[in-house]
Amino acid sequence: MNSPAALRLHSEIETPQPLRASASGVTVKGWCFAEDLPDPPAVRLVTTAGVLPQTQRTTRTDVPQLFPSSAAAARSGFVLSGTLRSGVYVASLEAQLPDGTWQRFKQLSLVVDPVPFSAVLDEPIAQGVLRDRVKVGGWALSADEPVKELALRYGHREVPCDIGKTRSDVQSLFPNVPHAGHAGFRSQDFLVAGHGPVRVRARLASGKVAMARTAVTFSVAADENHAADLDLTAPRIGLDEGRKAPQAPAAAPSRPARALNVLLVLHGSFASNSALHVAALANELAAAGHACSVAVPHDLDALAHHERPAFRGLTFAEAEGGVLFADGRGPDVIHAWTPREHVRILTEKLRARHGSRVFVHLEDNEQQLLSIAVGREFAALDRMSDRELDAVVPADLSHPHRSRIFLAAADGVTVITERLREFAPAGKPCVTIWPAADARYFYPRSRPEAFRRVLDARPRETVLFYHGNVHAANAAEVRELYAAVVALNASGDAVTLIRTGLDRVPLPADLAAAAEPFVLSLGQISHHRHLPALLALADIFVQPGVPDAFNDYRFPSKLPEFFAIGRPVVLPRTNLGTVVRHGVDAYVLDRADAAGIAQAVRALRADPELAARLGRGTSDFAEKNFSWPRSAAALAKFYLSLAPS
Amino acid sequence: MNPAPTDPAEVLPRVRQQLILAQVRIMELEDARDETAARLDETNRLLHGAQTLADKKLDETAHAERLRADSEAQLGQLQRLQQAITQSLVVAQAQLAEIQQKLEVQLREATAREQRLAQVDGDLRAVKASRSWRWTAWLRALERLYSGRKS
Repeated sequence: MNSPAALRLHSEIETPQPLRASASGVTVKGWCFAEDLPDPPAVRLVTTAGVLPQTQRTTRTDVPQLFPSSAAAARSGFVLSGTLRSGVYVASLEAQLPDGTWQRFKQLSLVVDPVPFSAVLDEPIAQGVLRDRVKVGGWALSADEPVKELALRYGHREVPCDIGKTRSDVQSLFPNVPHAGHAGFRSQDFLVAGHGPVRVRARLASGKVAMARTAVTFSVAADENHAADLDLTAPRIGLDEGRKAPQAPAAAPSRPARALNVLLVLHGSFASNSALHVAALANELAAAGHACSVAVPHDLDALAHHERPAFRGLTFAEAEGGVLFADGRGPDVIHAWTPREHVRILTEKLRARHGSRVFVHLEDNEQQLLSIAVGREFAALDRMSDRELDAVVPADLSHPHRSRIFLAAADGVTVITERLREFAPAGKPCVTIWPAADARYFYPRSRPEAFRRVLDARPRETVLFYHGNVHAANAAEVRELYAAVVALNASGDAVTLIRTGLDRVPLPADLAAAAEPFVLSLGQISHHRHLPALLALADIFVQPGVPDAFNDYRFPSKLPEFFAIGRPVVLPRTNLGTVVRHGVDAYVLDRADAAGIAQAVRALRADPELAARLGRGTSDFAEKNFSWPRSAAALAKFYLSLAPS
Repeated sequence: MNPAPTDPAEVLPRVRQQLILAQVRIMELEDARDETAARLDETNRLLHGAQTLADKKLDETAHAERLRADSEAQLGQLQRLQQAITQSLVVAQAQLAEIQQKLEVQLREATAREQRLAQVDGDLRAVKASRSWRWTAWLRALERLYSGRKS
């Protein structure tokens, strides 16, 4: 059988492309005519889900200008419309030949979105404000699947509804939806006190949850559990009044003279405090054009808590076989974040494989940490043989002998405080890298006064804030802070301590009981970026502690964050406390124990001018001294000075 | 049965704690909303890109189909031409075979004639070499003399 001769068609689809429509109605417009026919042919759109017919023929004045010799051009406009079920299709546009067959002239992709879940509240009102305690009803329809559960939400309330009520009017509105005739719902009970626009929340047969807004607001002032004097229409008082970070001038992306592949080997998971430092430095190094990877011993999933990491995370097990970067090379630099055993072992393996330069970071008095952990004097530990030590030293602490050899073999050493230089081998290149706070979130924030007025239980309340876990190493210091809070309240100073973090070491029961009325424990805050809004509630920050073999060598991660917020910081004369100026940059105590803390808080409560001056002083100090970009730049310079060219 | 009312002094710290935690929850939900909105935008952008790419590929496919149809038409013409040439070739080959046959016959006849001529020539030379021919030479000379012919 001979096929009919193909038409010589001219056409254009004028509906914006790519084609996307709702399942409730698909419309495609354009024009089409054949040179060989006196009249434009009929047009249709064909998909696997069905055919959209031509529903309208339109006259055109523009097409004849393009084809003046074709009489059919003037009537070539068409409109195709109809409904298709949701999906992604290849749509064929076809023109009808005189013998009744169809000729394709265009193919396009077509996305048909599902019909949105529809809900209407129409009993007793369909729009406006309902203030009565009545039962309400309406209809809710998902074209693709029936509703299985339904509730109305408004204000702080949720009202469950019975479903499946007969609605012939809805069936006539949606004749193609078989379950439309039973789309009605009605609240199970009378409305309860609450205020707000009404949303319909439904669980569908597939388990999906669908939401729809209605045109009704419920404003029920009172019920048996809510007295009328509880104003539910009052505006919400927000905690985070000044959430926008000050706009720092955007640094132009730069390429370093030489881009390095940097592998940082971290001793803890991405949930640890050290991970905040490593992640911030890795992000800044990446922003400066270097490629960074961070290896952690466990819990790689915790990387999800870091916002948009610009580095690759991997486990020690993954790293052991070698680490390759995007350019196909191994690391130029391996930065061992502490000389702890598991970090040292992985670093040495990778150095042997890749021939990388090795840097070791010191952030604690490792000898002191080991001594506390195993309960022996360090001198005694140091006298033991390697074999004896192997049985004693856990993988996540530093081996007295092997760590010394590891440091001696390193190309360079980085330290978080000056005192840690004591542990760097003599003559070894060494640089101090101070931590900072994430400037996107930690910046001077005003106190949310309205929220504080709601929060404060007593006149002239002073709020202290302490974030972080309580563990063996800091339990004694945190006890001093709690004792100070108890003492202050006992002496008539209204002081509340807001705590976040977990208590891995419990407080003594009597102290916990005495402190309970004055401590708001919020538990673990999942995202570090949410802390600054809570820190802004504080009047004073306190870093408890006294100068000792542990504190003298560390740099508490909280301190840059405290300083960035712009409140007086009370801290002991150790680590950063030996650098800042008392009365100018911070409130420095010889010993930040219970008595010292209480005395400092009383002094600041008694002298608002001093408190205001120290609030400015801390933020000024933070601006001058704490900056991840500056710390990362110093680190990159140090790497480049020692990396082979 | 309602539980015994709690001392407001005991409730207050919990209310304050929950007040702050509610704010934390709001921040988390705001983050989730912002992340979801960003992800939705990105998904829409990707869908738009995928559709644009698909449309481009459909255009390319349509173009390739047109090329294929043109090529098929050209192929048809060439096949028809080839058929005609083949038919002419067959006729020419038949004519050639007929001519070859005739040639062969003529060649055979010529060969036979040549063979006959050679035979006659041989016979003649044999006659002329024979004793009787030589002995009768004088008779042929008289015959030439009287007939006015010369040998």
